[in-house]
Amino acid sequence: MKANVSLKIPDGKMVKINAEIDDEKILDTEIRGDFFLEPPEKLQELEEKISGIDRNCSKEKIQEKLEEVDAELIGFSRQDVAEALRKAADKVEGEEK
Amino acid sequence: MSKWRIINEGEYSEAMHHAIDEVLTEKMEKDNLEPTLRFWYRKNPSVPFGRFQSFEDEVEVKYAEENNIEVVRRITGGGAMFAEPGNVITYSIYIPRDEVPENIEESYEELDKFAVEALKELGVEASYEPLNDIEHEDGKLGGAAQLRKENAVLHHTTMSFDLDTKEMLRVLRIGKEKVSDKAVKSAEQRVSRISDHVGHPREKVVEKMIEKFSEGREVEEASLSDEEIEQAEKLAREKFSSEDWNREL
Repeated sequence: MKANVSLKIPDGKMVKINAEIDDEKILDTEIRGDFFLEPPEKLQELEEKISGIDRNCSKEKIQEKLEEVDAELIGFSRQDVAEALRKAADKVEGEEK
Repeated sequence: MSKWRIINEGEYSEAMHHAIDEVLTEKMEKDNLEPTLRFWYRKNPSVPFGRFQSFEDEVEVKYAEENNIEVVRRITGGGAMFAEPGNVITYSIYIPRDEVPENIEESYEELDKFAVEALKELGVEASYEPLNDIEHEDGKLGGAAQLRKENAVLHHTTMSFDLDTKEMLRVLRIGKEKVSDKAVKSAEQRVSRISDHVGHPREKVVEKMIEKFSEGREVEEASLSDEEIEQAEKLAREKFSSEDWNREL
């Protein structure tokens, strides 16, 4: 099931998470938005880190995964991405019930 | 301090402008370019959008196609915007990284300072709003975006001179999303235009910006070289006009 979550960071940027989520796992995750990232090529690495993880993975754990990528996030944070992805997973669970 | 080239000419497609930005930034990266300030002149309406945005999230694709609005993904992050020839002021700065504050917020403010000061001298109460906005109390005048390479920084800024905000809302989707965000005023209200506050024509405003930029700097008027133009034309064709790049995300 697909889940899309947009997070408007106060005084900051818009982060959009598009994730494909099945019974167990968060599969393909896309991170989109009007943020900055240096170097830009790291977007894919960030996305890969949070694709294929357990669907019940905690926000903290997701953030830890993102910390493994050496990139500078500008106008948003790893915590924001983790929060949005967690919301996406919760949304799918809500819709299933 | 090194001598600056100021390029205030050259009417190109949106794709070509982004190609020129990439060519000059790469030259700067290889220490093969003098610091340069370049003003853009556009040929046609366009939507430059952010490196990390999804094409379809930001653009009313059908409307853009029907109205020949050229949509190009930037090499810099940030948001989508709408530009028409003569309706916006865009400039790019190519500068060695060691001449730019490492602190990102400081660097945005510093690199746009000359333009904000120029607007103030013309009577536009502009101010810099972190991270990358230029604001007037009536709304956002413009925004900047940077790409930081190892040895070079590209900093480009677009300000609304006389933007058709109704047309902007027809072609941009981001407007709609921000409208739905209760915390934010409507997208149209959020835009303020230089021409709302001054009677000067656009070229006068650009002249003033060049005057402010030249204070305390050694500058010379310059043009792109034939080689730079050729390289950029190739990149415009192969990258910035391609679906592979523009619709990558």
